[in-house]
Amino acid sequence: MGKRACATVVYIVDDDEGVRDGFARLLRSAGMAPRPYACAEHFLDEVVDAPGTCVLLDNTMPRLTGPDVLARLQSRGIALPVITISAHDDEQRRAWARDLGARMFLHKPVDDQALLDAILWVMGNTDARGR
Amino acid sequence: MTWIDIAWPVMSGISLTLGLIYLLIWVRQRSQPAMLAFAMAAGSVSAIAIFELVLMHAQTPRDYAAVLRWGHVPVTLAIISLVAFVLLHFRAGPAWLGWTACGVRLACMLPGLITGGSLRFNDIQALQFVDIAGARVPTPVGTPNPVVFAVEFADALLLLFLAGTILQVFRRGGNARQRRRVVLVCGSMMLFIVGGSGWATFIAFGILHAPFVVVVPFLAVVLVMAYDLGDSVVRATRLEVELRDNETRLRGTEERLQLTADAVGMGLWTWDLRTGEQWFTDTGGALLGLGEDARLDYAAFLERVHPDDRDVLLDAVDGAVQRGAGRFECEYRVVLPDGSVRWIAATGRIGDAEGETPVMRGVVIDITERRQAEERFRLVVERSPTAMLMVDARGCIALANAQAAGLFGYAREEMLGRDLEMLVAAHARAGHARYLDAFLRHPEARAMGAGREILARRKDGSEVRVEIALTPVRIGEDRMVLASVTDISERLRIEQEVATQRDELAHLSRISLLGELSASLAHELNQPLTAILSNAQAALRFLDRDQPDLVEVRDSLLHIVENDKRAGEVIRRLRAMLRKEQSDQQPLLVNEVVHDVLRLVNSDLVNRNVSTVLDLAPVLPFVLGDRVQLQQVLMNLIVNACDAMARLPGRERVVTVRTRFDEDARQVHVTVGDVGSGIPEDDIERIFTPFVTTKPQGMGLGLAVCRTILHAHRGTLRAVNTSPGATLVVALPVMDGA
Repeated sequence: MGKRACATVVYIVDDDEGVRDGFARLLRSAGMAPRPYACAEHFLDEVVDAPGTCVLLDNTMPRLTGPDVLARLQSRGIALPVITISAHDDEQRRAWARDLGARMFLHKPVDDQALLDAILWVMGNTDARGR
Repeated sequence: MTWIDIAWPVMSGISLTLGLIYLLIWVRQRSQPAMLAFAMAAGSVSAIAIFELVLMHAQTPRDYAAVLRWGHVPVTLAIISLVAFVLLHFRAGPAWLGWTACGVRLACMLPGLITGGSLRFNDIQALQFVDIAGARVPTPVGTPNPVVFAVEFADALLLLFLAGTILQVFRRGGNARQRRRVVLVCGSMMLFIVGGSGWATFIAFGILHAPFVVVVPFLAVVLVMAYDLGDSVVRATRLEVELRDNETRLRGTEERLQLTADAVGMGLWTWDLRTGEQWFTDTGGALLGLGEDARLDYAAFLERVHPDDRDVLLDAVDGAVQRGAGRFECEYRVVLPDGSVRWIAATGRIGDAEGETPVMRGVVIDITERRQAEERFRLVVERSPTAMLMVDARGCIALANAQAAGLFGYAREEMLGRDLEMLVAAHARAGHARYLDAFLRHPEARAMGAGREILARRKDGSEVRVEIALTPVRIGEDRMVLASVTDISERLRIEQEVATQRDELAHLSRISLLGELSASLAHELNQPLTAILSNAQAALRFLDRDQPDLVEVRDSLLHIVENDKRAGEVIRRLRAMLRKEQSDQQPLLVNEVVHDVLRLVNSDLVNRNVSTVLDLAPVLPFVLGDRVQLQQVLMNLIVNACDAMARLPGRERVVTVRTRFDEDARQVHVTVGDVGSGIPEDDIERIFTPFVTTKPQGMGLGLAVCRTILHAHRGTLRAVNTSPGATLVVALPVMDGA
């Protein structure tokens, strides 16, 4: 995997510190630029719709759930690609996520390659599709 | 016909009449021999009067002398009668003086009668007539007889005798009336003797020329005597009337006494201790089964007494009679002629001896009913399914029923008379002795439930936990304590079993609860695992670089360790919850328990989009409890709260957990509140009933078990509607000394 001219920005939104940290390190080790957020509200306040950016969104969080966040992004017209990560995996959630525009649905614990591949794919698709 | 011819016969008549009257009285009623003496005196005086009349009609000295001579007879008789009267009537007086006087007179008179001389005159030479108020009366002229001095002497003796009588009566200490009488009678006698004797002597010595008129003073004396006797008669009559009245009254009292005794079924009895004869009232006789003639002697009476009780009765009789107790009390049975048996209580007292005969009087009552009642009581105690003991005021066992003997492993006889303490375990004796003592001083019946637990000791030395309840009881005269003894070892065992089962149930419930939470628990473990995986893989990538970033690698490893520990914690807590151990009471801080629980259920809360609000009092006293069980309770409540809010939109789901210290009640309160739809008022208590649930998959045991756990912690659990939603309140008592 080669480096890009500017590193891929990945927003990590997860309330669990250990998980967040772990993902961040992993992405760093892959040469990306993680931006971890513990709280969905803060993320929404600071999110910037820019090329080469994607979002890792934890599905189960207090107050604003993953689907809520997706809905918010949509309503603001932010079309950043979103990868949903969840500890629970069931058809209902998948459908939910899909309906709300999530591109990928991953299941914890996440294998590093699977995650990186997922990010590239999602970015690639976006690029390919253009904005 | 002169006035003398009227007066003297009249006087004679008076005297004779009086004499006859009293003679008749004496004949009818021989109580007063003085009356006979009086009659004699009166008769004599009557004769004297006649003699004097004849004397005053005498024409010749020879006639005069003859009449005079014979006239001394009635005089002497009269004097003898007087002496006799005084002695008999007053029962006093120097008798020898009187009789000597009489003797001397007789001695003087008798020869004169025989020889023809006269007492006072040797011979009478002439008659000198004097005129007394129109009557011509002869008076004697002659030489006096020197014997007349002896007569004077006799009279003097008589005077002395009378004086002596007066003195004796006075000295005897009679009452004023008696003294008056004796003075009146004897005094008047003395007076008239002096008068009469002096008169006669003067005539004899020729100093006085007058007829002999001794009858006047003599009659006076007779009248005095008659008066005194009359007084006695009147008094005697009055006494007799009084006596009769008293007798009537006494009989009336006796009759009333008997009626009263009969009315209450008491029989009265009298026992002549000398002859052995016994007498009973009709009631008494009826009690003993006697017939109409209620008289018995001692032997016949003993025959009636029940053979088993004869010794007791004899002993009681002995006690009263021989040993001088004077009082007789006994309870015994009599066998009636028809064969029936009755219990009799007899009491008696040795009465004041009437004359020489010692007499015992008393009452008999039928106490058959009372004894039967006592017997029934004894039977009830004996047949009671509970072990019962009766203890006397000294703490000795007076009665033990079959159950008691069985419980303690003794034979009945071995227990009677022994100290109650022998049934108490050695180390518990001091406390027990104090307790029994206090109870005897202030006896009051205590209900079974309020009895006292004590460690008792069987004959074989084994110990058994019992509960005793005490009741004060009166049997006859004695104050006793009736104790019910219950072996509670079975009860204790069952209580233990219940506690064990409760713990087991709690455990199962806990497992079930955790099962519900399994998804979240898995999630709880999943997070650290994810973190570990990412960190490890990142570290590998960093190492793969041309220039490995060792700082990052190091960090990764540190984080791996941390997350591993985190996972370990979850597992540890989980294990603790799954542990099936008996409850382990420790001092706990409720806030810590709350935090523990929240860590465990965190994932679940997140999963369900439930947010928590914590309002914990900063300082709380310790409570004594089992950590795991209390965690279980809170966990259950929080899960329930989440369930209650399932219908609400995510952001509205809030669980509030509060802890508070209630100073007045000395309790720590933990409340778990939701904002769901609340609990229908009818169900507010029902939700704690087992098998009541609104969950489709639920068994409805959760809240029931929670309440059981709280009760075992001496706490409470209740539900309160707090619009919106409901709050469950846990109250735990503060630890002693906290």
